[in-house]
Amino acid sequence: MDSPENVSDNISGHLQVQFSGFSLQVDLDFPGSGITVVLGASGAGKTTLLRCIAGLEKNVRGFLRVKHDVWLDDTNGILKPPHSRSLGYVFQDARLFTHLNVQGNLKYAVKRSSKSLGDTTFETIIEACGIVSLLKRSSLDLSGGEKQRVALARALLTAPDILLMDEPLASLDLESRQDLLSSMEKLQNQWKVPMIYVTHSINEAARLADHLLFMSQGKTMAQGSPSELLSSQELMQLNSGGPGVFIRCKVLAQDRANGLTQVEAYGQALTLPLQTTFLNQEVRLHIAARDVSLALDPPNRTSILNVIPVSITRMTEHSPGQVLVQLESHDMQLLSLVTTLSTRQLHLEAGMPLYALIKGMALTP
Amino acid sequence: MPSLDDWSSLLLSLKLGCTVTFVLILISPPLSWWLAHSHSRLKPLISAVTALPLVLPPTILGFYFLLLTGPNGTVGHLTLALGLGTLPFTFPGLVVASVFYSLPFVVQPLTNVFERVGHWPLEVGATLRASPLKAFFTIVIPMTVPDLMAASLLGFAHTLGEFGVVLMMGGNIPGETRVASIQIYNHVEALEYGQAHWLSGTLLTLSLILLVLVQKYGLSRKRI
Repeated sequence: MDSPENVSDNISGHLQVQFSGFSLQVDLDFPGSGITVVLGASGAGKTTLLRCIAGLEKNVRGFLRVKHDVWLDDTNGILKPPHSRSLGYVFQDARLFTHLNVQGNLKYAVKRSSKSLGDTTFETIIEACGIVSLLKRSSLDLSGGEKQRVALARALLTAPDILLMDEPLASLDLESRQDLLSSMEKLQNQWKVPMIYVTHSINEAARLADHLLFMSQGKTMAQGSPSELLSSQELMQLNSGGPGVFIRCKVLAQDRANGLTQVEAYGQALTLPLQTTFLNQEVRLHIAARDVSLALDPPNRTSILNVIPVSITRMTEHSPGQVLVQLESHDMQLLSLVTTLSTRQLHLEAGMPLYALIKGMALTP
Repeated sequence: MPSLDDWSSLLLSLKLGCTVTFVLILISPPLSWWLAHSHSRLKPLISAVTALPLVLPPTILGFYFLLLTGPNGTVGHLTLALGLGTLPFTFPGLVVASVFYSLPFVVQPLTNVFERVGHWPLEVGATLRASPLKAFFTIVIPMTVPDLMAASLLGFAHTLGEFGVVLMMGGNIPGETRVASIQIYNHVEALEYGQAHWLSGTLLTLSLILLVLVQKYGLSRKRI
């Protein structure tokens, strides 16, 4: 991280802000490309952090540099107002201008963009966002997912140095989530606009994050690679999701007839609800320990799609009445959270072979 | 049959209404936005002053306006020093008094609308490179045009109908300050009920049409 290119290309700083009953104190060191996910339970200060970066909060102290541009430096009296910061912001609730149609909303952004985007860029962005057919529609008549995709396109059309996204999937149904996620991945592949993406969902974090910042109670708990952080039990403990594992899979097959996607990790096939992905694409999953059940025999009549032969490596008491069981299958690690009663009834102990059962529905972002 | 004086009083009312509404459209949106979003300690006072015409008899307002702007009043001294003469019994005097008198009818509905809109258009505007002032004129104002129309129509209708302030401030000068409502009073005083009817009926119909328009603009939307 010390080479000159990296230093001038990343996003770094430290931000402080104080409200009555809440204070935020965050150190940032994000790469200048890819998707940085800010993960934390609700009330952790994720949205406030995003608003501080955007300059929408008042009385923020500290320092913030985005690429070559210093946005805040209170020791030197530098404070760029939000409209002078080269950023795009996708709010949780889209916030389209209601007096304009979709095209009007997009043109508003294009008109105020500091860099001129060619017509082709405009076309590609609205295509990647899947809103070509919506241009003439009133912004009042769109579904939640459509609104969010228009908001994403509007934010990108200002050609920002950085894109900030505040839980854009929070109010969307499963299908719209999938659409928006795939739009984002497409855009990320084509434009490389660094994104800071706020969410409380470990699954979203697992799928999107190239870099992860974990927040709790207004503070940075950790930042680094998602595979490390998402497998850290102490950190996941702080999140409502509880312990779990993070695995990288490759898409094996798309079963559109049944609405399923098959992925493979460590030679083990997993089935989950249909993802908008292409074959051989890498998909990153978070498997929460509470979504993994255990069985001594392979169940033959069950709705559970994923039955994986594993062996127990370790058992630790998680909380009174609950045991965290560490499992291994080839090189794949899994965690399962079961009751102490079950471990007694099944006589579970380290080294024992058994079956891990994972509901397909639990594996979706 | 309406006399030439009746026609001229009606025209004068319309001219006054248009001028006052024009001034109100210029000053009300910024004032309303400030009232809706400011945390200033002065806000309750300013808010109360703009609401005064709603509760005070127009004659009281007219009386103090007369004193203030007369040759011995503070404002009167100022206007005289600037070589503008004094405001009472002139058309500009009527405009100033009427703007104040009709202000709450435009400012209050707009303040409510701006409170409901909230801060988000300025925030979204800022993330799309628009300064607060630019975002106000390119987002907030276009978004609230129907409300602005409804509030202006209300201000216009109210200006047409005022009597007390106009009488105190303007007197009864034909062609200069004798508006329709004063002319009606003159006719009734002189027991010319036919002409009073004609003018009254015209004003009544006009006001009714304006209020229907206010309703139409105010209600035909599911926005914001």
